[in-house]
Amino acid sequence: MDWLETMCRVVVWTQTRLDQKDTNYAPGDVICVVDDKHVFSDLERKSPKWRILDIPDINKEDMYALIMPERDPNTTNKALVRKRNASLDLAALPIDVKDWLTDNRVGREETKILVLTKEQALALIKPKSPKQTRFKTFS
Amino acid sequence: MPTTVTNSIGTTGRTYSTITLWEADTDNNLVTADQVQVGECYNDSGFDEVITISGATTDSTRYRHLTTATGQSFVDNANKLTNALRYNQSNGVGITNASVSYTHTIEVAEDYFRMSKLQLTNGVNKSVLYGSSTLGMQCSQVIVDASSGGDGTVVYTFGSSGGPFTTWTNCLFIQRASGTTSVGQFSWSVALVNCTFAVPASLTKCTQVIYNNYGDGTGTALNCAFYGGTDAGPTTSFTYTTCRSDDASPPTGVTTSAYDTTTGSGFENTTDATRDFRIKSTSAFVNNGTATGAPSTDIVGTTRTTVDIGCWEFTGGAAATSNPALRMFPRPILNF
Repeated sequence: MDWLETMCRVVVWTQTRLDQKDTNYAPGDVICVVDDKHVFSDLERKSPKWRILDIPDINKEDMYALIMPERDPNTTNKALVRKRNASLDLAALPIDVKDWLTDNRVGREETKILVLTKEQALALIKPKSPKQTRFKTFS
Repeated sequence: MPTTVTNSIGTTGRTYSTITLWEADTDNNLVTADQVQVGECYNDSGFDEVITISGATTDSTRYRHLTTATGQSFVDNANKLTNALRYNQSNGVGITNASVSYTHTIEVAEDYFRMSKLQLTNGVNKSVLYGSSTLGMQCSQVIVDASSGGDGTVVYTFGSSGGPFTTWTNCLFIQRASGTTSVGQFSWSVALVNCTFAVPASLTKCTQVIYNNYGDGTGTALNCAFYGGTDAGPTTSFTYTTCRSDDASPPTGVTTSAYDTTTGSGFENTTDATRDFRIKSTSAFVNNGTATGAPSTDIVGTTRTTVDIGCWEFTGGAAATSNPALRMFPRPILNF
């Protein structure tokens, strides 16, 4: 694994929870995007809640669309209705990556390199359909 | 009695390497778990990230609290009484968003969230903190120093009727962009206690130092300073008690004092590049606050004797005292 070639690391939420709310992370949501110099802690590398994916030759700025929340523009406070407005398109990922993302076994590979062109990486950003479930006041 | 679970956040052997991952991992039902989740930041390096606090189930006694570990805050700095009072990450934990454009450094969409002893700033075109939770948050001993005008303000919080729910105690807010709308925008309900709001005097004034977008709620300001705006704040929906401003026609409860470094506001330095919002012995703020409802200490933990206005208690440079017995009565502990 040649870390020097990695330009972008994304942390992908993988856990399905029974009490899922829109304000929680959902499977496929990206928690954070960091550069290849970022050092994760032991707990972070081994967490069953998320996986760390390395995407070479992609700047982290290219993936910022994955960490934006969804707001309801019709509410006074532009209420946050969903923690992430887009997610990784898990269905479009190579099968081995998809399987690895959902593999929460102890001892599993901690990070995986996903070799993509910039165009392929951007195509993985899947916008969610708008929720905007909150009250609407103050036109 | 809730269990307090404390985790470290930083870059050198800490439990979490980012605040965002601490937030993700504690995004649980804290009421069922009967927990207070505390994230303690270490000043290993500056935090540069976009933070969204949302999703945990909380109540007034079980919540998340982002703060600093012992010795890691500007509040703990050995030179805290002589350091210029402004954002300076070398003095303690600092959080910025210097990377992601048009995004707040911190957005709080979760009720009862607490924040203390932190320094916050921004780098790119958006207010530093955006609070959109219904029941608000509690913040104390926080410096919010915005280097970018963003969406016209430094902090922007909402709430709901029946408050105040969001409380800012012993906080400093600095707007470093010229000619913006405001320093703080507060809608619905907020309580401001011994806070200092300022646009450096070398910059063009903002329109109104604190601004209430919708005229709703029950805003209160006790012992606060509002400087560098054409107006201090709204004249309706807000109640002011022993506040000061350079507004020549201030609202009831706000007294006009010049914006200066001598006998008016008496700040140490009002120039943007060298700004320092500690106050001097000659300041009109000294001993002119109201004791009832004021915190027992100031933004860096100095015991308030005869209460000064704003976030800084003038001590003449003497070392801060720390006697817990003196903090209990008659003024409640509002720092945490």
